[in-house]
Amino acid sequence: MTTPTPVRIVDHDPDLVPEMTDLWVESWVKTMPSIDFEARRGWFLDHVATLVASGSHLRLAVTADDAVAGFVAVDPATGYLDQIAVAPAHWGKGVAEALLTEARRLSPERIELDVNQDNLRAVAFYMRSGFRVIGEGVNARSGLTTLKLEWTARPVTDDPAP
Amino acid sequence: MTLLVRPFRRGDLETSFDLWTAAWSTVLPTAEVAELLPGWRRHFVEDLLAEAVVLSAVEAARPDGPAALAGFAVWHAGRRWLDQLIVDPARHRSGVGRLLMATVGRLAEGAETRFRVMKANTAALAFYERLGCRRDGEAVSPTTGWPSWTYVFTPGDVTVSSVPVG
Repeated sequence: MTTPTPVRIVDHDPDLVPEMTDLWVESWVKTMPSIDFEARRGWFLDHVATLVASGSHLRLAVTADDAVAGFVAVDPATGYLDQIAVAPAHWGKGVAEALLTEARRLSPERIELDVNQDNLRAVAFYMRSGFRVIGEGVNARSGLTTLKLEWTARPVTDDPAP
Repeated sequence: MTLLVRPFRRGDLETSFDLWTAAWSTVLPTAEVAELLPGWRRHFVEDLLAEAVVLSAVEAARPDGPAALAGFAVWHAGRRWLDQLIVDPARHRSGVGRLLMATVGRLAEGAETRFRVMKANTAALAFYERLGCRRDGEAVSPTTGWPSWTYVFTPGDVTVSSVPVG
């Protein structure tokens, strides 16, 4: 990790949705250049509205100069994490870690998520953070193979119980 | 042969066991490899595929075709530990290992990765030395009991003109 970007975590703010959408497009275009994310802006706006309406908590990582560096959406009722997105300019600078810490605060027992299997950076990030593969699936929209990952607060020990 | 790295897929499983057997047979007695294989199959499927980043180096022209697997790497992203780097012995010295190591380095984002190499595995030792890996200690393989060296790999040591990832 290079010099970390100091961020503060703020609650979902409708005024920041346009900036969030730009960030979402930019980070996904860089991650999967073969998919036209520009064309999916409308879908993303609907998706955010659906997430919020269904009880997911949306949190943003904001830099000292009030730029949105990333966001996370997690449903505390189910532990389902919809996604962590970080602006490419802040990749590798601790923003995803800060957002995951917030997600764990919101869902302290367990987090589950789906990640594109080809998104190796993301898979490595979640595995580094203690997630395990618990299944495989297919993204209904893209047809790409996904991995289902899970993190639980249960401490993992190498030693059998006495 | 143009190679690319993509995530390990279930379809790679049987070929990966063949490569694992062939690669280890260049270092260990065949009977010992045969003895270790069942444990490796179980450990790989039950533990490593769930806990580690597993990368496949495949022929770009037919990335999912039969026998396209040229090598694979098993890397623990959390502990920054390289558990296995397996290259098809028939494709040694063709850039398979270098491409996999470059990909591990990219995913490690600058952080060091450690691994263990058996002292008897002279081809592997030469490969890691060529990559600029640094020997930093001695160890005994917990699986085979063979004396080994421990190494540190610092990403940035490896330059591959382009590393297409999946």
